[in-house]
Amino acid sequence: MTQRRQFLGFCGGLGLGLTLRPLPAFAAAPDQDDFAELNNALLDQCLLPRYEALAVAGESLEGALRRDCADGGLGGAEESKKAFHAMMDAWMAAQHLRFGPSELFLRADRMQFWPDKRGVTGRRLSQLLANPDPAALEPQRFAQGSVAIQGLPALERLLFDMPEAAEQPFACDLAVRIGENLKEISAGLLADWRDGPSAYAAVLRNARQGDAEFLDAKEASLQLAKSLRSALLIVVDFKLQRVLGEAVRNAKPKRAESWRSGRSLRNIEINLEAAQALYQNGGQGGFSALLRRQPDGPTLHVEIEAVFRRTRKKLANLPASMTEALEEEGGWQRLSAVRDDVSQLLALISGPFSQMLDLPLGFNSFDGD
Amino acid sequence: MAISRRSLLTAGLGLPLVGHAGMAFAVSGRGPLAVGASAETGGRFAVRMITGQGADGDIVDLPGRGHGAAWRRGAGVIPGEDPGEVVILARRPGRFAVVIDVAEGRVKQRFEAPRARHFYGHGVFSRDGRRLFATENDFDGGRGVIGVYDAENGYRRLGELPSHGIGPHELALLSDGRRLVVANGGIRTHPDSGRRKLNLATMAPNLAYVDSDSGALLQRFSLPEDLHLLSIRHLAVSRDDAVCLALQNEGPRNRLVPLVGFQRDGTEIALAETPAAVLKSMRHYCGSAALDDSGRYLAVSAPRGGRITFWSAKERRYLAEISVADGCGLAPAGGVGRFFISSGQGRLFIYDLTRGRETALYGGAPGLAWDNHLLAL
Repeated sequence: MTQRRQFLGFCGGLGLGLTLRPLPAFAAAPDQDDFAELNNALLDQCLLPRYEALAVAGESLEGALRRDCADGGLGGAEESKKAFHAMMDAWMAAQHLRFGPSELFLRADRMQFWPDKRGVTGRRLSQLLANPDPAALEPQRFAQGSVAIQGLPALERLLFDMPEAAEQPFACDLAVRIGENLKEISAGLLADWRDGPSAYAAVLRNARQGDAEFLDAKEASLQLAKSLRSALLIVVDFKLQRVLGEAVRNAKPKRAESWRSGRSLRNIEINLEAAQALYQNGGQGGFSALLRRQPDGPTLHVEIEAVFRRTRKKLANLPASMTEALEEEGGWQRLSAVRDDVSQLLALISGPFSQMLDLPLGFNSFDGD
Repeated sequence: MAISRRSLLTAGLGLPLVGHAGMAFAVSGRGPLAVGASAETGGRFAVRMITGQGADGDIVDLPGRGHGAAWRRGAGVIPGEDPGEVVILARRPGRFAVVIDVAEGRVKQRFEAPRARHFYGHGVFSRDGRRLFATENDFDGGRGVIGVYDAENGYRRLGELPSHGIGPHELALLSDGRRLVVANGGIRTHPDSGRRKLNLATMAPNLAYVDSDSGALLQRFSLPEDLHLLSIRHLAVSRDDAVCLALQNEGPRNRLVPLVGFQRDGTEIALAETPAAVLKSMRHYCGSAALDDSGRYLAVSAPRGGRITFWSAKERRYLAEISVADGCGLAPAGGVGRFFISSGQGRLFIYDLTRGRETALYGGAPGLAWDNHLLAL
């Protein structure tokens, strides 16, 4: 790689480039060594730490729910609410990592069934609470039952939006069961990523040899680039566009993620922080370092960095609750500006970033049919 | 020889085209010759009419991301003379369908799949144009169906036929005007889980021949057991009913498997022997398939590999490839070895395989992305 770069520099320096045929786009593109380094760097600096944090949060949440429910009612459940927020914080940094262990056992859906366009969570929850059936909470049956009531959105309703259920012992049992379920899912995610000879981290690290998951190291890097794009896409399409609509009067605040716990914008803030870390971390092996080594990469890097910074600054000046933000004077416009920023980031990552690194994230290649 | 509207495209570009009967046409090609769904700047979705001059035809907004389209032929053969209408179907798991008057470039009508169904994005008309057949998901039943719509009565849904498999995707009508051939991709999805694949362990794709009147299964072909993760997704059918298949592999990534298949009459599916380097560059994924007007050449796109591959349909073997970043949409462009090719980066051109020549129709505007499929008119 280094040699090739020097060679290209040498040609350019002599001005020979002008008389030669234009170089094919892949001439300066990263090679398998670069991609293998990228995969290792992001595993160590982003992926594994995030799953570790998620597993810790899952364990705390389960403990808190158990303690709050010790007297048979959720009551104020202050400790549980705090633990719920910590769990959401951790999940928001991993929500967009939709490959490998998160694809197994419907873990991502079971962790957070959202967006729930048909209102399944509310319906199923009401049904269960109206006909309390302890057998429905039997661990295996619960984990293999409806994904809509076994994760974070159902717990959020119980903790923040169902005062009538708070004193019902069955609601408490359900909350504890959800906590145990979330603890089990997050521990399973971490174990599958980190532990044992078939750990997914090892699969990712060894991708350059070709394995059942990845054709080569580049394909594993593509998966990471897709995760970066997914983080931005989910924010634009689901977390902002579906809520804001095209005009103030079309806004639908109850479509926001986590509106009941008043943390919709906090979620987005963490999503963007995680996306930026995925882009920026990894030292000399990371995406941004790799990008800066490409011709025209430094300029693109400056642009991407600037939009990340600008967007996060805008978010830092908004309340955590999107409902509140929308009630503020000019709130919709401010959120709309955030949407435009993240859309711009999405376009930069899907377009020039993907092209310069030769990691196809195009309209047809990203999510085909 | 039946003259297709697109055979006049060559004339429109100032190149003489000689038909089988030895006639030369000298008509300046105006009016749409193909259509393709697109994503436009600002996240809008649309369908664009493609003329001989490029993508400067009408643009019709869509309520969401479109996918494939079906052409209900009008009476005219000369561009501008009653070209008929086109139905654009929503990409899964969408439920909308938009009927467009091709000549006027405007929406004639909209309709939807029933609540308990969604479209897979492909459809085809009966030969008399009265019925539209569209692949759909009976998601709660976990089975594929073919919705039948009455084009003469406001696209009222007449009923549905079984697709005889899970995850039906592209389908075509055979020359007898009675049999439908359906690519049942085998992958189960449910709108509540977005586009997630729910049954990879038990996935079993097939190619089914279905009676378009009774829905009866006439013939069904599967892949060998060890290739059950090879999804049969897209197909192209020649005038004499040779079926070409473009596949997507959900199996182990380090096991290269053929991605193009051929099937006709009562014989089993024959997978094309393909050089390993080509398979590797295709990245286990084909996006669409099209035969040229002669039926001799097959084009198969591999958008994840940024390749368009070309195959001999008669000899069932690999011929050549070109690089097209995020290239996916394909349609015959009139003449031997000529294809429309579109890309997610907004490119649209005609590729002449026998001359190895590209003729740009549209250079691409920032923000324009062509979706997976093109439909030639």
